[in-house]
Amino acid sequence: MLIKAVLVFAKVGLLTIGGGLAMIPLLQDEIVSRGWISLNEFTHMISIAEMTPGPIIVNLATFTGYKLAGVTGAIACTLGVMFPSFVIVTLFSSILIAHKDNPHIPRVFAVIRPVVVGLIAGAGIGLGIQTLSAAADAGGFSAPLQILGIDLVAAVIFAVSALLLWRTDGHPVKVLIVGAVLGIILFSITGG
Amino acid sequence: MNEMILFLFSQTASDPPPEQSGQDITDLRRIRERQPNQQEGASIVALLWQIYTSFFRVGLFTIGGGYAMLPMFEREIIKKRGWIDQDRLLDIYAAAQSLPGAIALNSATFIGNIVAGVPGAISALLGVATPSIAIIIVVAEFLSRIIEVPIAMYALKGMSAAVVALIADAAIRLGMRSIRTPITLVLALASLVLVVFVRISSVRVILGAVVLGTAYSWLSTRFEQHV
Repeated sequence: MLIKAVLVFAKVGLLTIGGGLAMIPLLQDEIVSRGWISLNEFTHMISIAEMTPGPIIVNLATFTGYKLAGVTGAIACTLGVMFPSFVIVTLFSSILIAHKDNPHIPRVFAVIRPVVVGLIAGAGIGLGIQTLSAAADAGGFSAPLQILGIDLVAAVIFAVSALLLWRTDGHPVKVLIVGAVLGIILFSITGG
Repeated sequence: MNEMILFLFSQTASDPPPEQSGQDITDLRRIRERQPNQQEGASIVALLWQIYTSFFRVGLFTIGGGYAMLPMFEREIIKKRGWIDQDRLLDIYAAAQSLPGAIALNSATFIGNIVAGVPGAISALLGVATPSIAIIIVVAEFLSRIIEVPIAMYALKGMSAAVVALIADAAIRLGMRSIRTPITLVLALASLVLVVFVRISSVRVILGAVVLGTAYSWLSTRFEQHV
């Protein structure tokens, strides 16, 4: 059973390209339909995965493995999900490092780099719309204070974080902690 | 607890990050070869441990997807350790996103391989994954209760808003470095529009950039030959 689970997670790890959220239907098919965890647990784990560090496929592998065979299962399934991409990325990066004299490589990356900056900015905009919008999210949370569909509390926290980064070159961890503390205080006061 | 906080915030790197400018992706091999040559086996273990702990910190504070770890990478891997520079971070991100697997794991493996070969890749991968494994094992025990605590939800909301600022900050800083000509500005805006408004997957946008970059490189080689 555990060996089967490790192999299933290795398959999921191999098929995940470009972000874990795209893999949710496949994961559900592989894990829930086998009866390893319930649909309810699966749904909860998706929300938990957003609150806890680490990629969603790793979180689900650890959780399912733990349910199947305790800590051993958790570690085995997590290693299973990480193994295929580890091999592929190690090979790919080694090839890139070995071909250091190829004049094409820096030119190709010169084109890719600004494109990646665009993707990062795009990810920020996407997350910004989702976070600052006052509409209720999947967890049924709706903003207590809103103007023109904007969650005012989230907007204030965003502004404070931006100011902190701009003025003090704050460590990302400090900014995250300030965000969490402000979230607890402001949402508690406004009664979210 | 104090030691924990010190460990998380410690800015004291044992070696100051070297100044890097215009470093080639493969110059990094130099760094990688330098380490074992200078010192004995014990310091290879020390380097692997340093890789593990750096990526552990990155893994511990990566909440909200692969892009949210960029600021932590800049802080822990670039500024504090000097293992790679910002251009390399973008190259690695492009590869990490296009290859199978989660971005966080792939970029850790890639950077670890650059710094100390396959053992470095393993250290980085295990380091970035350890916090999430430990936290999920705890969560697995208390799952149904955690989900109903409103404070957890408030903290999550607050952190998400902070993450938006962190990602915007990273995009501006990395953009100021790699967007220097009108053409690169057009490329960046085009990819932003494609991914946000046209909703094309980032993998396809990167693959498109690879095709464009290859064509550009091939054409510029041809051009030089004929002139």
